[in-house]
Order: sequence, then structure tokens, then C-alpha cells
Amino acid sequence: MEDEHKPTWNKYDKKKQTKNLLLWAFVIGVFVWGASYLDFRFDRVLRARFPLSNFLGRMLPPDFRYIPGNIIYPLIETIQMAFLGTLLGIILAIPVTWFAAYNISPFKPISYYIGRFLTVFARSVHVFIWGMILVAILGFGPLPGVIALGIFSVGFLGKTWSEEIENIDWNQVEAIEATGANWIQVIFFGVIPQVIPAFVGLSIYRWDINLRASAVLGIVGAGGLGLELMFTINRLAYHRTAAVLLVIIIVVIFSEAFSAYIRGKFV
Amino acid sequence: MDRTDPLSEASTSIDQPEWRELRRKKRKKFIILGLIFFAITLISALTLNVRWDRMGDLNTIINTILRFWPPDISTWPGFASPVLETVMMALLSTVIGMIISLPVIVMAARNINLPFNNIFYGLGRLIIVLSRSIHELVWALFFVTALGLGAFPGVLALSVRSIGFVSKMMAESIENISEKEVEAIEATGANRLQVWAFGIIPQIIPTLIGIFIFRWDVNLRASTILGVVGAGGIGYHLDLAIRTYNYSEASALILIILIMVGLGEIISSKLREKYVKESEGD
Repeated sequence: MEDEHKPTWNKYDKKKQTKNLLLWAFVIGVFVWGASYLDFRFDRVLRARFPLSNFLGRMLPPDFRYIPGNIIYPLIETIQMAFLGTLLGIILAIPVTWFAAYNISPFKPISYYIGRFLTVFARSVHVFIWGMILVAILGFGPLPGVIALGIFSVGFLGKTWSEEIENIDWNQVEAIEATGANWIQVIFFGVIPQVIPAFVGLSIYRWDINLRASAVLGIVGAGGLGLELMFTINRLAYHRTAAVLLVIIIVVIFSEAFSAYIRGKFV
Repeated sequence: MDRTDPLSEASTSIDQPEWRELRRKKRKKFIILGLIFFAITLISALTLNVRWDRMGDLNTIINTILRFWPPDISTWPGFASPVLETVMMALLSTVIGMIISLPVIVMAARNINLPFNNIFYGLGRLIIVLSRSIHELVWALFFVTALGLGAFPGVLALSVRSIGFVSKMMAESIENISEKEVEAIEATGANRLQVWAFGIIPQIIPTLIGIFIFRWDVNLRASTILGVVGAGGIGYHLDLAIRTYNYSEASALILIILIMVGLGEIISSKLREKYVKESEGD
């Protein structure tokens, strides 16, 4: 086909081309304006008081002798916090899930929205903000960390669990109902057996995420390795900081492998 | 299992000793696992180093909680610029993160062959693991200590943290492209650059957009707290409000964060629906 106005083939017509061009100009404009608004100073990377290379030099080599005496206990505390936080999250998530799963929600017009609101609310406030609030209320230590992890986990678990329940095979539930079972029996024999593997898998996954978070929650004063990290940085003992960081990285990698293994085995 | 009459099946099999034995074994295993789990819970709950002495009594705790109410909304106009800063931090860090991921993606995708491929592949994986396993707050601490306070180290922290996720997903997406389309472009006599531009990149664009939107949402949530370590954004003001016991201002700030993150989630899900599906249909 000979078209005088279109000598070369183009994926987009003129109108779309201008639109794309304007869109790109807008995106780049926003980017440049944002960089100046946020006071980007790449020269700072080169001319800072502690240039990055110097800083790395101050961190390396990690002070391994610091690990046995000072890091083992915070490490155990971190694992404890993650475990108890996940458990608290699971306990709190059960009623929330019951409310937030549309097909089993008890008084749908009200409870469904309450459940949904709770999951969104718990998830939208970052675990560190929960940590800051709870440290302000309860004081320093691992307890506010556990509660913060628990509340934050409710958002994730409530959302994913209720989605699992909404996707169950309803025929099985009807079959249980047809035997004359009351609603508790229906939940226990019709709903729960269908979702247990997913629930366990998601809980283990959440434990993995919580371990990552609890390793650094100490930055806001909630116990664990993060507290140790803050101490060493505040004392400018960067060799020790590197040792703490190394332990955190190892723990995180280990927990990821462990949770993948368990999930592969059970689910 | 083939279907038999459920009634006769149930009435016969329940009396069979093997079935009962199996059930008993299963129950025993379940109880033992449960007991172990319970023991671990009990031990870790009891040995948790709770500083009861640092905690007030129930009255003080309730009073402290009540001081968060009502949120002092009159402070909101003053927080317009931190909110903007937080949003921009999320946006810029996602863009920068994706740009600096490029070499890592090339290294970590198995079907892109570089000289010394194994070494580069290992290096790529190492960068991904390092970036993912260090929390953004730790990255922020690192950059703040090295470069000073401000939004700039915060953006760098979020960018570095994004590398792992972006590279992993993009590398997987490149590994899963259809070789046929690449071959079709090659068959036209295209050079390497043209193969990339017309054979590979169009295939990964939907993933790219999806990852960008998803990561922007994640970075928005993260950028609300980076201020705690002095890396810019609204978290700095929240930290300040809590440290100065100005709890009604703190709850006003938390409200802002809730609205911001909520809007971010709605926008990102809408955008993903629109762009990812649209470009998949191309």
C-alpha cells in the first residue's frame, strides 16, 4: 500500500507519538525537578568528610572477636522476637481472617469491612512505626518489638489467609453442611482442612520476613541485633558494626534457606 | 482414590485395625509436634528479656496510649513538604535503583553470555543477595554515616535495596523470553543492538513496568521510616514528635502516612491493571 503521508512504517501514529514524547518529557522533568528538590549532591559522594572508600576502610576487616561476647545474646533475642512476634500475629490474625474472608464473615455488611480495615491498617503502618509507638508506650526492650511484629504480621496474614479462604472449594463446605453440622463443625471440617497447607506456608514465610525485621528493629530501641548495631555506630566502632552486619546477613540468608526448605517439605 | 459408596466404605473401614493404627500414629505425631512447638513457645516467652522495671504500671501505659488521641490535625499544613519529599524519594529511588540494576541484570541472566560468564554470574548473584538481605534502614544508616544527613542518602539506600528485587525479577524475565522472536529478528540480519532493541526489550517491557510500579509502592512504605536514622522524609518528623512526647502530633503524622500509603496502594494497583495488561495485549 502506497501512502504518501506515511513513507516509513511506525509502530505508533503521529498522535500517539506526540503523546509518548510529552509523557517522557514529563517523566524526565519530574525526575530532574525531584533531584534538585531533594538536594542531590553527587559531589558529596566524592568530597564528603568520610568518603565511602574511607568509610569501608574503617569497617574492614570486621572485628570477629566482638561476636562471641556481645552478639550471641542479641542474636538469640532476635530469633525469639521473630518467633513470638509471628505467633502473636497468627493468634491475632485468626479472628481478623474470620471477619475479612467474605464467604465466612459472620455479619457480612459490618464485619467484612471491619476485617478489611484492620488488615489494611496493620499493613499500612510500617513495622518500624509500630515499633516506635510501642517503645514510647512500653519502654525499651524486646517486648515492644514482639508486639510490633505481631501487629504488622496481622496485616499480611489476614490479607493472604482471607484470600485463601475466599478461594476454597465451596462444594466441600456444602457437603459438611448437608450432614447437619453446626457452623463450628463446618469451619473445622469444611474450611480449615482446605487451607491448612497454605496457612502454614504463609506463616513460615512471615516468620522469615519478621526475622529480617527483628534483626534491625533495635534501631528504634526494640531489642535484638539492631540495638547492638546502633551502639557500635554511635561509638564509631565501625569494625564492630561490620561484625554485627555480617551476623545479620548470615542470619537472614540462613532463615531464607530454612523457610524455603520447610515450605517445600510441608506445603 | 476411586469413588465407592461412602456409607459402606465408612462402616467397614473404620473397624479395620490398620486404619485405626494409622490414625493413632498420625495423632501421636501431631501431638508430639504440638508439644514441641508449645515447649519452644513457652521457653522463648519466659526467657524473653522483658524490662518490667522500665515499664510503667498499667495506669501509665493506658495514659500514654490515650495521649495519642486526638490527632492534632492543625499541624498538617506544615507537613506538606515532608510528604512531597517522601513521595519523591520513593520515585527517584525506584528509577535510580532500576538504572543501577542494569549491569547486575546482565550478569545474573543465564542466557546472556558474557566473557568469564561464571564469574560474572556469581558476582551478580552475590550483589542480589547482599542487596536483599540488608534492610533499607541499615543501608540508610550506612549512607548517612558516610555522606551526612538528608534525603540523598535515603534515596541511595532505597536504590541499593531495590537492586536485589529488580535484578532478580528482570533476570528471570529475560531468562523466560521466547527465543523464537529473537531468532526472527536475527534472521532479518539485525546486529546485536537491533536484536536487543526489537527482539528482547519489547518482550520484557510489561515486566519492567510491573516491577517499577510494585517497587515504587514498596519504596514509598520504606521511605516513610527512613527519617528515623536521618535519611529524609516524613519519618524524621515522626521520630521528633515521639521523642519530644508530642504524641498528638505523632498520631497526626501516622494518619498522614496511612493516607499516603493507602493512596499509593490504590494508585499502584490501578496503574498495574492498566499498563501491565495493556502492554501484554500489544
